[in-house]
Amino acid sequence: MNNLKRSYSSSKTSSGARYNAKPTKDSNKLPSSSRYKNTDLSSPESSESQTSIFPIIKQADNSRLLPRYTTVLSRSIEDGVGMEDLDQLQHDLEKLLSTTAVRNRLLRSEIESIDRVEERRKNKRGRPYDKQVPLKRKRPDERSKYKDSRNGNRMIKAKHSIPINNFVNDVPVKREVPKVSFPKNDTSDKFWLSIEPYCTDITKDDVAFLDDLIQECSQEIDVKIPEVGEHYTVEWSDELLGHERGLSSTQRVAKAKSVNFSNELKKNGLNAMVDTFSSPLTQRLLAALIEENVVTKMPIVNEKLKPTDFCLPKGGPRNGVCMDRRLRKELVEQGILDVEDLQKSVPPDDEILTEIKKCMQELKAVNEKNVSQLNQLRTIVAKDLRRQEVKEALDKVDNQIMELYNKILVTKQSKAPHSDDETYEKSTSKQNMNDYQEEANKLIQQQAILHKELMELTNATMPLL
Amino acid sequence: MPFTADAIAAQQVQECLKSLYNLVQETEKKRQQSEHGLNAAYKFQNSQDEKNQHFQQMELKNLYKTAVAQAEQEEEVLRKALQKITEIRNIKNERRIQARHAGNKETIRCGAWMKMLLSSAQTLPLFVSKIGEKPPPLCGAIPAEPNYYAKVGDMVAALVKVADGDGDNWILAEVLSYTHATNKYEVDDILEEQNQKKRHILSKKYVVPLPLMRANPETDPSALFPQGTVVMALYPQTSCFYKAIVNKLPQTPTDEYEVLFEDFSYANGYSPPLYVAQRYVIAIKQKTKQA
Repeated sequence: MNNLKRSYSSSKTSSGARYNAKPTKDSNKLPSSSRYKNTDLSSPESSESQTSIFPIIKQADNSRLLPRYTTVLSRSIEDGVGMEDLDQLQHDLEKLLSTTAVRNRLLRSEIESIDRVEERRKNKRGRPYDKQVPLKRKRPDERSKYKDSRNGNRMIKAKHSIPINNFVNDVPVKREVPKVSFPKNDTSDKFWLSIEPYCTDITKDDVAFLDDLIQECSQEIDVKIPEVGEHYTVEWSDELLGHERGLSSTQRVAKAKSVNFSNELKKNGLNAMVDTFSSPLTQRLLAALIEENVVTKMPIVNEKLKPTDFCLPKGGPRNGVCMDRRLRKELVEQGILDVEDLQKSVPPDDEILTEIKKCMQELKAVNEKNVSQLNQLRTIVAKDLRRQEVKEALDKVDNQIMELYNKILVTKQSKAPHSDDETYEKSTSKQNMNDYQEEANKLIQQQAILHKELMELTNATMPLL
Repeated sequence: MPFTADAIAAQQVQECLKSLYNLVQETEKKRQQSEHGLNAAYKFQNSQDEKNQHFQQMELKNLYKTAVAQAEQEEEVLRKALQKITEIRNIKNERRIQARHAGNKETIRCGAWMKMLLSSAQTLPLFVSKIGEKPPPLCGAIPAEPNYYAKVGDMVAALVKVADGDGDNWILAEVLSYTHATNKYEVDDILEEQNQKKRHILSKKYVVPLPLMRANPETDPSALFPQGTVVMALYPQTSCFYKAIVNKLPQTPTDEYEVLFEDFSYANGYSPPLYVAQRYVIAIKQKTKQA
């Protein structure tokens, strides 16, 4: 009997399997305790990355590890399971369940780690491409992208390994470093990734993008408001008219139409006719007339009150508007209505037009503001580009100075040992030193100038940004 | 066949056993699939070479996904099978309680009781959490909800006055009834002879329900008492709970806690390590002793 019991100590270990091996304390109490198939103890550690072994009880091991289960399995359906089997069978099933549950978890974590590796690979590949994409005003997908990307390129996290040796009372105590791998804390990485677009250096692409934007925005907004067409009632009735004309090419239809119209009049009475006039004023007037029995003679409708009478061009529904106009004109001529009254109703109190104009004005204001902001930004960007140049130059000079400094050090050292021997070398070295000093002075001056410029530029750009 | 309660119960048990048998057969099929799935993944891993890693990783991921699906199916069948076993036990327990109500005295010797205690601890249902699932109350070390009360027939630890007069003792007892109005339990000492004298009627705070499920150390270590916790544990071969310190946690579902009992007859004040089943290790009650 195998007296080594192996078990997964914790399913929480994220990717690698960790084994604990300890002697069974009481082999009587725990009859079948060799739970997982034998694996070399060292293997899980070494193969943690790729071939982590998932726990499974192989079917080949059935009889050894799951005695009661195997017995039940081999029985016929008539024999089935007996009450006396329950306890052992339960243990066997539980063993299977637990193994399966652990395997499920490990597999999932393995999938996760593959995903993570993929993500990293994608990020690496995606980076240069990413930079070429001009900055859009807002990248809507940005948030999610950075949220997802774990372990981006920017590894800010320093590797603080847990010190293995702790000194307690001056005695080194080898502390067991817990191999529990904590859930990866990549919050800082995420943070830096999300910050990056705001902190990267400005590139030529950004400038080009800005220029494009400025150009685009400084164009005059040229939205023409189309002339006010005819009122929709007029337009519609025109359409209808056209339709009718098409129909009334034959006399018969026209006749039927006019008969129809007068029939309608007859049927619905004058009130219906009153309703066909659009303006309330006209309606009121007509209603008043009807009440006063001025227009009562229905029969004349047939002869007199033809649709053509209402309007100069003959027209069915259109006559409402025409009627209005004609009535107005008539009333003014008669002196019943004042011209002023008329005009009061005429003025183009066109809400839509005013709204459009208002909107246009707002748009213009916003656009102007945008352009001015963009221009401001453009100047800052220009300065920043210059700053970058200066910074580069400064870095170069810094490097040169460092080189020179090293050279000087080398010459000084080489001078020391055989100073007396060769006067010639001495003189050349002295010559060299002088050269170096001159050069150094020059460089340092340059450095100072560049530094000053850089400070100015930085001050110029920063507060505004 | 007369339809007595017993007969009906027996029939139910038979049905459960039958479906249990079928589930076992089904399990074997699922296991075969799982094994195939895993083998495929292993084989793939071993045959991997360096070129086109990306593709290979995707392939491997797919194999793993299949394996996960298979493992889940297997899990499901196993859960069903275990559920059946629990059902059978419940039916039997129900019958036992009924029989006792009917007045059938079951006389069980002390030794038999001890054996039963052990086996009932081992066959307490095992809780294996699904992914993302939290262990429920009364699973392992997870305490009961405050308004929980133990059901009739449940095992509890009860603080009772011991007749001999040496104070109070936490004993292992079985719930006979619970009165909501008074919040009081009527409990039976599991040692028969003790009950000859009197039944115990105890306030709820002197009764601690024992876990109804074992926690699986492999998947739910959070439901176990951490090492070093002071607990109440049933002293082996007795029916009393004593203060103890958790020394080692169980590593497998069938393992027991290794505990050190507070025992002043030993030089260092603690007993040598003893093993106590999960069922008989409970959180210590902040007690108002000598009350």
